Amino acid sequence: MTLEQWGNITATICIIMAWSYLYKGENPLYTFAEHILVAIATAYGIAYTWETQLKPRVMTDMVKNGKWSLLIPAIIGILIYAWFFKGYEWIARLTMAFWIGHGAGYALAFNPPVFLKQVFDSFIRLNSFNNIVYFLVVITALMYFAFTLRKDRGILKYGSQFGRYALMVAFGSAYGSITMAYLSLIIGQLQIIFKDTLHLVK
Amino acid sequence: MVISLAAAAPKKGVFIFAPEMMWDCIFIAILFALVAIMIQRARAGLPIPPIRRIAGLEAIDEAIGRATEMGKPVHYSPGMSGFAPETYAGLATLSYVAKMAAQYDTRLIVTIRRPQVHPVAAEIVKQAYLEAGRPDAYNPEDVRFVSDWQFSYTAAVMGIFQREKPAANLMIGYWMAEALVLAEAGAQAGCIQIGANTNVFQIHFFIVTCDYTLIGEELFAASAYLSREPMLTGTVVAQDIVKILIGVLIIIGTIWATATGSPAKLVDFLSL
Repeated sequence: MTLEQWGNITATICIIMAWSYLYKGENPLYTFAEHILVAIATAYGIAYTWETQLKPRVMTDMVKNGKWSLLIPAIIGILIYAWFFKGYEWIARLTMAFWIGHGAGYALAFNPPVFLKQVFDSFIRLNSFNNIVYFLVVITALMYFAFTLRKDRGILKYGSQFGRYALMVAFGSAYGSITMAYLSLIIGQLQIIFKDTLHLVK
Repeated sequence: MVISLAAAAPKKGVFIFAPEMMWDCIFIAILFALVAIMIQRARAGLPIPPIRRIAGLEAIDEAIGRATEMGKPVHYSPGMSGFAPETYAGLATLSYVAKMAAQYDTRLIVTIRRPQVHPVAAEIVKQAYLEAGRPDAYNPEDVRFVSDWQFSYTAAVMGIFQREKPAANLMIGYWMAEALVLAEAGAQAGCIQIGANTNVFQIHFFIVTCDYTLIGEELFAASAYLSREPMLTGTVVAQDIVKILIGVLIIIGTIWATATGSPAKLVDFLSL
């Protein structure tokens, strides 16, 4: 047998082991598949981080290009491991504080929300049914997501209700289309079993 | 990861002001000012509007109560993202859930996908048990980093559902293609389920499989709603005022576009 055929047989066995969950929930086959998946992902993650992060930063950036300033973030990163030493857990919080602060600062400085562009794009002419529906849904969805306005009567009550129903219709439509996409994934798995491995379909 | 963040930091010279984003900047400044004003009002004890009822959040108490009665654990996950707004909201809700679980002496299992979120979640749960007066009940083994890989995490959590049989499953954060798989597995395990998601391409799966769903921004109002803290409520009030401003702007823009045939002049004016 070729390597490809062995690959197809392995894939088929793994698919059946994973799908055994549908027949009997937790069972030895599924547990085995689950543990293999987690183990492979962990091993792959370590190798991937080593190859794409640690090695280029240390070997290329530091040793080859002399960017020794990267030692500073390296030390900040290593401080995370203080988490494992009783009494010194607080040191790990310094790194976490830096990390969270970096995320918030980066978002504000380099990735600010461009929500006004979306607002400007909502300025449309009410000259067609679609545009009227669009306008109504935008305004009523805004009403629905207002949390501190009294919505027990009047336009806010009915507007908010309409917004909720409109959202449900949109979600229903998305549900249908994404379920179809998932079905195509199942078809792909069935092809591996019946076409590539068992050769029952052409 | 920290070393990679440093390596990827922007180079000098990119700190330029973008004139096309002037109005965005003004809007954000208005939002900041409103938040500051509302927080000050709340601190001073001045009246601010209460947050409306959110069914999914009221059901959290019911879900933990059910788990307590059944003597089974509660499963909680703050979603699939790293440090993203949804994760912060999920972690804020985790604090409330952990405190409730500690008070009721119910086991809480927290599963984490992103390694950087794990120490924060563990600290939050530990602190919540401390505040509830039950530091002895905190078990670090129950705040679990599972796997950084999407479907490895999913498969492992499905296994946890079957092995540990939680009575309640709370998934509060950002979810992707695993949303349906996890919620379906939770339903199969007999959990009462509360899901929250901001991903419009996946939230409908929570709507059909969970008992209660927090849609989009309801997730961000959750911490204010649960804690009833005036400071957090003040932030939600400020955001509501901005929503009203945006709504009014859209109405004006639409009327302008309909009356004049094009919104171009108004957009040009607002774009400076």
